[in-house]
Amino acid sequence: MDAACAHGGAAWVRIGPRGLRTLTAADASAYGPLVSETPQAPHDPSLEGALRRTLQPWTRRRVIVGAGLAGLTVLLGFRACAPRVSTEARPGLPSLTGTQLAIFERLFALMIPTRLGALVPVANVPVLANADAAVARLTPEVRLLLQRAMLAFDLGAIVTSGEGTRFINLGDDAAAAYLSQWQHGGEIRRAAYGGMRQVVMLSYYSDPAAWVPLSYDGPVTESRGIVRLGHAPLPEV
Amino acid sequence: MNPPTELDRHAPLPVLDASNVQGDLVSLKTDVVVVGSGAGGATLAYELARAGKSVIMVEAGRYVRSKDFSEHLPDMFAKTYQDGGGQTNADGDIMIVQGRCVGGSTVVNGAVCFRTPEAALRDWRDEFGLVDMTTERLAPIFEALERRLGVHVNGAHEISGNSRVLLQGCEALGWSAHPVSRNVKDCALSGFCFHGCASDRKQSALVTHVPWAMAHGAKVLADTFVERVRFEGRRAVGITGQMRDPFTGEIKARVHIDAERVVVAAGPIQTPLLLFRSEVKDQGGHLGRNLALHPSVLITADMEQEVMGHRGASVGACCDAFVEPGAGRFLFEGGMPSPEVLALHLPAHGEEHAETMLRYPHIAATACLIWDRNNGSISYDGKVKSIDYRLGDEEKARLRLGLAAGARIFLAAGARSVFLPTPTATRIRSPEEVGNVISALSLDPGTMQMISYHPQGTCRMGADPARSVVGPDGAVFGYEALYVADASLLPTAILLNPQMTVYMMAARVAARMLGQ
Ligand SMILES: Cc1cc2nc3c(=O)[nH]c(=O)nc-3n(C[C@H](O)[C@H](O)[C@H](O)COP(=O)(O)OP(=O)(O)OC[C@H]3O[C@@H](n4cnc5c(N)ncnc54)[C@H](O)[C@@H]3O)c2cc1C
Repeated sequence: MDAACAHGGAAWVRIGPRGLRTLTAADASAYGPLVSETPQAPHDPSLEGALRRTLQPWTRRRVIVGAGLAGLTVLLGFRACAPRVSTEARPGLPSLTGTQLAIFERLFALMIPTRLGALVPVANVPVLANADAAVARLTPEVRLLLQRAMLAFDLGAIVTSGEGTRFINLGDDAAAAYLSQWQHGGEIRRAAYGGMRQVVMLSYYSDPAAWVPLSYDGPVTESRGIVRLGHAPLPEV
Repeated sequence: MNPPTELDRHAPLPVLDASNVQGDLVSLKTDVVVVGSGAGGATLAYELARAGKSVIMVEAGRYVRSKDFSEHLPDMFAKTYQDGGGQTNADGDIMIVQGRCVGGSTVVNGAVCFRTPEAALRDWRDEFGLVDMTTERLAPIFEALERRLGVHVNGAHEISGNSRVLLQGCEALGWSAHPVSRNVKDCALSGFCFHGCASDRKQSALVTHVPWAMAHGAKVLADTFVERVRFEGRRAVGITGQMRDPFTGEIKARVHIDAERVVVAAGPIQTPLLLFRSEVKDQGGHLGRNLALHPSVLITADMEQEVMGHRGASVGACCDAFVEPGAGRFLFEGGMPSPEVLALHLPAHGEEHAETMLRYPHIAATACLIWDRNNGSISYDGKVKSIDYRLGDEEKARLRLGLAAGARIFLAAGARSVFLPTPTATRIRSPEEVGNVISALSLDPGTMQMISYHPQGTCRMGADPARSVVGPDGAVFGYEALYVADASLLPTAILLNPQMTVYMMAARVAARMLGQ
């Protein structure tokens, strides 16, 4: 295992609330009230709500989160853990960071394995575009939570995957084992896993391209020509 | 009193909203202003309008026409659900769904209809002094409502494959189960009740009480969030609100309505919040308290046979073997989710997940709804609401019984596997496993995915101002000209789906307001 990486990761894990920024109520309020009683903003509230729910341990607790995480990891020698896949932002996908794209690319392959041939291959469903569009409609607050959870997930592999490198650099078997650690880990790790899983499942299964092998019909009223009845006639009682 | 002017059934309703408002102030005067256009608000508005009162309904959500019901859940969440479907309790483990659009929750509900059960009415009479709430005296109100709204017992063609599995399992076990009644006319069997009925067959308030009230002269303002009830002394004299563009959030107009009487029917979460904002205080400190959520879990099963659960009426049948006090007090109703929702109820990821998703045509699902005590509360810190609710020991015990019974129903119907809605799905393969698996579940906050479709009880009705917020006539104790007419009135939780009870209560409040 690369010593600098191990040290960097361990330092991140240990320094915790003292050394890194923690998400406080003040941080959250900088992005507006958690649930405003005023009319809804033009975000996608469905995923927003689901993620807000799932990632709640990341807001409720004084969790290690890193606006400064990336900078700190560089200081601690993360350069030695340079990504082996592209972490460039991509044209046409403006809302996901390059690192998020790299993480999601791995996650789609791991979570929805389509190599058995029966599900529509992930490559044939615009999953990254769907994920990018979904993230675009999140409030800044939830978007940031997701970003931080994903960054911690990626970098946490340096310490706990046994391979001394980031999640996006792991081989298939190690990546699957690491993902399963987060699925069954403590509350914070389970929450990050749950949040990422929600984006993955929504981006794949809500796309009509994925429905054929499921025999799911999708919307039917237009396609079956079902007649709209309009308002009911005035009642006699 | 003028005769009603029947509206063109296929034309948009003449609703005033952010898309057509002129000027930056809407100032109106009326006999009665009703906050909310859902089950309670629209029913009451219709009763008052047809008795000749001038009525304005003010609705925070959008006016969404059925032609814009896309049958795609994420889209319909955004268009028609409170907080876009993201509303939860403070722990974040119970999703609390409510409609937020003209027609309120009736637009997105499952259309299941039950009269108020006698067990609840008995408590309301004995403990809360609602002496005239007897099954016999309420029967004519229910009969009239049921005729108006096309309530009927599902015919054979309205029992989907999903509901047939529930019926088969119960039959094998000898448990009582039967088709439910629904307020649907000529159901097109699209299976999209929870997305809003795109062909207007579900007799929601959007196609019944709202247009009928308008035919009798009522007006509707949409996109208009009521901020406060205004008072002169202790007398309610109107409301103020904001009309906002639902897409940009921009304020389009301030709304100011003077009224002889104000009725709050904003639903059991929003009604107490509005009363808090308006600085209403009740004598016993019960405002916002006594919240019941009637929590439910979705149990899914991989069946040997093909089920095609998404095809057919959304809810066909129920198992009511455990409904009565002493029998467990939980209820099963069928309901099959779309793939993106189902995916989150099946094994978490990987090959096992993919294999189970490929079984989609074989998956059956049922909601298990449990009766709860009114132990929750709503609070408001001036900016943010908090819905504080946790399962108590009694509810946890009930949930365990419900999960076990649900697993047994599916296994008796021939399921290969049953999945319980823990965050990554717990699998049960045989009846022998049921007891051990279920007793090992902790049911602590965050360990079970739950949904509340039926919040109720935050402004409870009763004869004693020290124990209730609202009197038997619907008027808020200690105030004049201020009424509540929605699910927040229910003094104790009813285990059966509540929409008919809400219609009935609103119709009664309207009758009292008319001096009947
Ligand atoms: C998905 C779903 C499925 C359901 N299925 C069933 C079923 O099958 N059978 C059944 O019996 N019941 C069902 N219900 C429950 C039933 O629909 C409700 O109990 C009932 O509609 C409650 O009536 P209400 O008048 O209290 O509130 P609602 O019908 O929710 O209406 C309240 C209205 O007030 C508006 N409002 C809130 N705040 C403000 C404000 N400040 N200013 C202006 N307007 C405001 C809201 O936008 C909303 O439109 C279901 C509910 C849901 C959400």
